[in-house]
Amino acid sequence: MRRYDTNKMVTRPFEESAENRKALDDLVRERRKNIDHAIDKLDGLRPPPPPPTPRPRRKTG
Amino acid sequence: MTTVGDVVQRLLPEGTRPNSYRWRRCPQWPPDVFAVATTLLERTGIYAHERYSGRSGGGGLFGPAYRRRVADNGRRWRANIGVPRDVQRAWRTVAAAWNVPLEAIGSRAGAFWDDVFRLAASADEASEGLGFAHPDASPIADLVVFAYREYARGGPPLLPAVPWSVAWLVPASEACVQPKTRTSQVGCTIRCLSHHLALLPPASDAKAAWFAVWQPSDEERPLNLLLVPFPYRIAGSAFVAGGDIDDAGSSSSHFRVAQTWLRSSRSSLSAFIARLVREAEREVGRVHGIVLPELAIDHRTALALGRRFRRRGLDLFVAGVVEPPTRRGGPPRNAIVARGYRGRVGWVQAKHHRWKLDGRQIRRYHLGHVLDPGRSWWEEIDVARRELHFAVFRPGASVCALVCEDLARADPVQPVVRAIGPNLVIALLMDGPQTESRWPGQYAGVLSDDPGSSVLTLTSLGFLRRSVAPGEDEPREVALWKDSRSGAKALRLPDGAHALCLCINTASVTNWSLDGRSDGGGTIDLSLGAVRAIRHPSPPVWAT
Repeated sequence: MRRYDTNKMVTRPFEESAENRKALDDLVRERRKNIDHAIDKLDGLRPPPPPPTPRPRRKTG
Repeated sequence: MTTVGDVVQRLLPEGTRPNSYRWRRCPQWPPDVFAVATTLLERTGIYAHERYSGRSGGGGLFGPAYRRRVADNGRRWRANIGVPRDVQRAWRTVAAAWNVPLEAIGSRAGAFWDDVFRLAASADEASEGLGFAHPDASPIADLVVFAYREYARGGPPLLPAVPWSVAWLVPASEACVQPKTRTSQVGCTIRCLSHHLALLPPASDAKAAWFAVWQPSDEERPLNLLLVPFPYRIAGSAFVAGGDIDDAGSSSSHFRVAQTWLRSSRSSLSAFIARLVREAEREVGRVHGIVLPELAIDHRTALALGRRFRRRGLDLFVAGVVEPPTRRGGPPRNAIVARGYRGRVGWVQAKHHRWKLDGRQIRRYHLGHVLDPGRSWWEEIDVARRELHFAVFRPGASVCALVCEDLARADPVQPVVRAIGPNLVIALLMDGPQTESRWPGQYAGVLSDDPGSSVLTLTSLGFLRRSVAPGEDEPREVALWKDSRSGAKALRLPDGAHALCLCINTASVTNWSLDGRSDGGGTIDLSLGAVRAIRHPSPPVWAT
């Protein structure tokens, strides 16, 4: 319902350097197993991807 | 009458699982449980009851058994993410009291509130290290760092209100939860109940943002800060009278501050400060941060300086600036441009309150020739979009920077600052002598008392010089340091010096919560170890 409303309301309060981004990306990569485990444990934290859109059927005849 | 269920439903409108609209099971995310339990305790004030505000003697709840139980809950929750059975049991007590009015149970200590306390404390224990990125982080703390990554990438973040709140199912429009770095060691307030999480008001009037940065393991101690009280002279013409305020009979007008001092100094300022850094480094080895007072420079100069000093790997750069208006013809913003943690994160924080110059102040600062002392003069600045930024600048330590008035005004900043408990508060001022007896000293004392932050205030020598008549002795107290362990220290800039270098020592201390839990010595305490005056060997004319 209102899951992402707060974020839409506001500007981004922090500007992050490429160095920090890389360091945290490395950390996240290293801890990926831990993080995936946590995400799996929390029901519904990551909503399932939307089902693929069915291809329109080709009209025949 | 508000019931227990009303409070829970308002804080968890989707239920305790996303879109479940059921509340029987305990929420899985500790900050959500913390928000609910702490709100219940705060709404009724039950935490001040004798059973909860004392220790285990005399029938109090908080004895060794309670502490062992919540510590064990926290450890299990942190490691396995699953809600421990004991916490689930305590939640069932809350769910069973769904239709009970808060008024009916609000003043009666007993099993219901014992369980609510256990929920709040277990959630707090489970959140140890949350908001910090470090090698020994728990899966819960790792997940929060990952949520920051997702947020920074610009997509829908994993936790919807990051960086304004680390709660998951509790909307930021109802309550915010943020990491915390100090627990108040005085008084009996809801803030005294937790070590790792802070319950904040909804993200409406003033929003508090927290940002996690990667913490290198090679941090240096102590923290050496270079305070540059620039500008060294301010002409009266820098205060420009604006239009009258259209209030019936208020005799109030607007004024703006024009940074006239930058005309002569802008091109050489960067090299000047770089030289001061080199001079300071002869004494202290390495400078970790630079601080400039309120309105010292413009936004463009601040960004250029920030970039220059970022290359030097500074932990902190904090400067008062004039921010250009967000709309054409609109008022500017009086703000702080800051970079933290070796330049890895930057933020801009605007002043939340306008400065009011009355006749007494106009005479004190010798401005009667530009502003009529018979009127009140309000600083013409944009005070919309109130935000407060907290950034990690050393492992386990956070900093918050405030502009002048915001140190003194209780709302909306102080409740947030007190709840999060930054280890260092830097207040940039355009003010007179920084002494304990004047207002900056008094308000610094308030924050160093509760939550125990170390507070640094800095004004410009230029404005300080305006506070005396020609021929009188010039005051030189450009800065003030106050921490929780010692009295306020006014810091004087000697004649001929251009900056002060502060060596701030860091030490790990133990904080205790109201329910008798220790943080295991995890609180960083900052104290003033040394102050040295720094002189530029060949200063430009504008610095004399």
